[in-house]
Amino acid sequence: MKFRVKDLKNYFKDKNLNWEKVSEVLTMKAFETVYNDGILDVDILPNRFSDAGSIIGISQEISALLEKKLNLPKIKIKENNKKITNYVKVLNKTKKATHYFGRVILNVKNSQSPQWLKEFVEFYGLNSVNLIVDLANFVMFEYGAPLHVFDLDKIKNKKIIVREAKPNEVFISLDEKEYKLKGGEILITDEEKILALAGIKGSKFAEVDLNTKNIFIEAAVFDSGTIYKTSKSLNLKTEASYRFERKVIPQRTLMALERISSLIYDLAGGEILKGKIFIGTIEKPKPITVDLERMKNFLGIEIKNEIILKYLKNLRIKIIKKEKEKIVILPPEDRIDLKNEEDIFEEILRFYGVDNVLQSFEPAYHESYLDENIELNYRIKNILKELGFSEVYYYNFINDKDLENFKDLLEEKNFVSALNPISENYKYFEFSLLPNLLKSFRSNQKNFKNLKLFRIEKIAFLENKNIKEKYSLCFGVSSKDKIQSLKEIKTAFNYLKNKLNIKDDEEFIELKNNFSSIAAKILVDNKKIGIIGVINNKIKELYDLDFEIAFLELDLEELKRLVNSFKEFIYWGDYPEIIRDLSFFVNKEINTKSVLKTLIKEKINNLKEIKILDIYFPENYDNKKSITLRFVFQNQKRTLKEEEVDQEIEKIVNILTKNFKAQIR
Amino acid sequence: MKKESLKEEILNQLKKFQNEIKEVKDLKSLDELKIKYLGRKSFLGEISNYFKELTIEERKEIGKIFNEVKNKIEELYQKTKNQIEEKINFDFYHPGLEINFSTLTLISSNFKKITDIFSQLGFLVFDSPLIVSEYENFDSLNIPEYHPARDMWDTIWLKEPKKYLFRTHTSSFQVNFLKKYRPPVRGIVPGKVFRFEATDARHDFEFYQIEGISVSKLSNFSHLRYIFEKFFEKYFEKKVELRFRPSYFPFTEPSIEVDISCVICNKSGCPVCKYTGWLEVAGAGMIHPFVLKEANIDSKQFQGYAFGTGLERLIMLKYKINDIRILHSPDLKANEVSS
Repeated sequence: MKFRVKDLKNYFKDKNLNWEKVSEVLTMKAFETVYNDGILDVDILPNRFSDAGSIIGISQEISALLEKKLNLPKIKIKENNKKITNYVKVLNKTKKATHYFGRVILNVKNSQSPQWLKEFVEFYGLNSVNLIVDLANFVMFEYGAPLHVFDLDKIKNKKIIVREAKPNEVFISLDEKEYKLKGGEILITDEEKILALAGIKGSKFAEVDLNTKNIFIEAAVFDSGTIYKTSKSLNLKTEASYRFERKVIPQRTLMALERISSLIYDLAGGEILKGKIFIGTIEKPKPITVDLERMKNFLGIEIKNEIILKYLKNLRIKIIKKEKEKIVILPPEDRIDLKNEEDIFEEILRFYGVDNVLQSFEPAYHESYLDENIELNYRIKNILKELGFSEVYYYNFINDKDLENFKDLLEEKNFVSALNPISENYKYFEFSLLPNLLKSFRSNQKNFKNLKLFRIEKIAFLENKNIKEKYSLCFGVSSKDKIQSLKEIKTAFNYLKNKLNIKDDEEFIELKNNFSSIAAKILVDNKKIGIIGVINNKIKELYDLDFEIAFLELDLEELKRLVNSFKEFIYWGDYPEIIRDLSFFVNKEINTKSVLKTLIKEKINNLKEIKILDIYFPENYDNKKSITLRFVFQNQKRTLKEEEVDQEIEKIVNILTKNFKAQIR
Repeated sequence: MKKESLKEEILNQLKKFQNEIKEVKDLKSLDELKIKYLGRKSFLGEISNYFKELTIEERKEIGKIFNEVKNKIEELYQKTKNQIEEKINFDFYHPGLEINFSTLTLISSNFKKITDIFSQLGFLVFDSPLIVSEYENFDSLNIPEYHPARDMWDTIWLKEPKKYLFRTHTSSFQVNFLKKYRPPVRGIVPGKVFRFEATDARHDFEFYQIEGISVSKLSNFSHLRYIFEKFFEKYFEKKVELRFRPSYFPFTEPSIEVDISCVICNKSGCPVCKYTGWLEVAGAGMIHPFVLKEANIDSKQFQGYAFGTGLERLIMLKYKINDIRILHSPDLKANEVSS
């Protein structure tokens, strides 16, 4: 809130305050403040707006911090002897109007505001209306309590009813805008009309104008939550609603009522009727027990009790009981934010200076621990980086186009959508990292060739209406040729598996989807751990991609179970290995893995290892594929003879021809 | 030819060869030079023609000299040949070959750096959900519905389930954290958060926060000050001054704002610190008794501090990046200074 120093000055006995210093002290002990050109710009914290968000409020804070005496307005009310109850009736039908105070002044002479008042309300952000309305706003900024003045003669039967709105009731504001209400909003009404949307805005019906003679001044406190809700749902924010949302202090409201009555009397004349409307009870502050010993441990400061007592006195906090280190205190009526012991600790700390707390070391209570998902992410990122892959950042949300093209990846699950998306591009939370990875390829394809990119992020989806979040790894390789890119992605997969010490026993089950030329799901122990493939031409076109892109997306929750932090060492042996490669044709439908499985089951002497060297699809044989296997033979006790190995190879050839109709090349 | 003049001529041949070979720069002229001196038509090649006129004694003597000269020529030839063959032209300012450098994002490498620092400072490092309930994000942290405090966090809500949202701060894990890991405990929760907020150079709708929590019988502001001093010094790799100011968060009491001396201008004044010399880098405070109660912790027995800082803000200050959207760009050029 911005304050004019020339206004604040009037509230201090000391007329020569150093406002630079005030601003510094406020910043370090209360609110961030900038002083510039006669204006104090104070960022009043939300919990302190009720007591400090006004000229008197901030003056009180300055007074307490700098020990400067206040010069508060002296209010004198000259009532006549006509009783207010004969002139106005107020009926409060809702608990949401917690306090309702009012006064009536007859025979005022309203006018345009004097220049000083016009300038005042304009500085604080409002337009000047007329003397009485401007004075009400003046007092609002002065005391932090919004007031509303009604033209008494425009109120039917001079009877005010405070009630909650019914659903679909319509409120017409001063500027003749219509607001349809939901029900439950607080209204100031008479028997016919809605006079005001309480705490937010008035209507034309009981507006004070230059012809107004008799007025009713409303000084009320409305429930902060209701005002917040109403203001938000109608998108109607006013100086009054801002204050009510942050809670208005009833005592201040009462003071504001007296202040405006005396100001109107002084500047617009009239007769103040005897008595006032007083609905609601003013609660006394509750005592708080403060343990000073605990406070020192809580804040980490050394402070003498007499200093604490001085701070409390400056804060207008009363001490009602004192027993060694325990004191019972009573906060001032306008500090409704002070409710528990810790709130008092904060006040002491502010006055002590939070920046004066010295550092000290607290030993740890446990050994360190790094979340295992985060740790695995770090490992994978480094492995992929080693292999020439770069990480890219992308937002976690996808759009309709992505959803449409990649929804096959959802399988049985549902996607997570934003109720209020930030834009059309970011409507759904990613259930696969692939669409946005492809966009990252597009962003980089002009500047870099043979891109290898990856992302590790959380994906999310709905499973039986429950949210499921997990880490996913998606990487891709761009190339001019689809097969080439697939070979590269397989290389990367093998490397990753090797570095993570994952056993080599995955199966690939081919599947069809909307975005791949060819794809397979990857299974380990019959559980899906990921998907591998190469994007089809349609996606290439839709996503403006210049190259073929092979991709692999792995479910890191599943992968994590397969990862080992190390492998046991196997000695390479004292005797030479004999290596034999065997190439053969089989029907292309034959599962390569089943060939390996069959061979492993057979008893083949001295066989140490079988590796797949190559698989290709010859152009001249439609229904065939060629497989080249490498067999490594070794004996741990002696050097093998070539003839021994020949025998075993013969055995292998027989198995292959018998089981798979293999034609040896 | 007489013996003496023959001997002189043989030695002369060697001298001439030694002189001429100095000018040779390539293998072809080297071979030509060799042929010129040792070839069949050369003086030395035809030396036997002169032997007829000599005695056997003289032949022996000349023969010996001839062999020495021939060997020297051969030797010199071989040495020069090796030198020519080894000769390579290379300018060491050559740029090397073009490759794609593999990089991690700045966010990734700095995230790691920060978890490393906090591990050293005795903090556990936890992961936590991005999608949380309204209770976790707000109510459990003393931010009731219909309270203006909620305006501090503009929220992206889920369509369904109702009352779920993309967490607006990592504080959403505070209560769960304290329920799971009972005090005394000290940990950080780094991760992404989301805001329904317009994007500009300083703001984006996604960013990372690091939440820190310490609850014990002792944890207080002086310990928090120690942690901050060490953390910023280790992160920025230089000494930074610290400044604590009062602030307000519904879930801490007292609350503070943490400033560091401007790492760009060292407090001499620059546009980044708006000529104040200070940069606001974190919010913190003593955990509110309300929050401890939500986590079933007796606030008269245990106490603790919590803090939150923004990863992107720290990266931008350290690497002098002036737009958060650079950090959130898929362009590999954005990774360039990442290690």
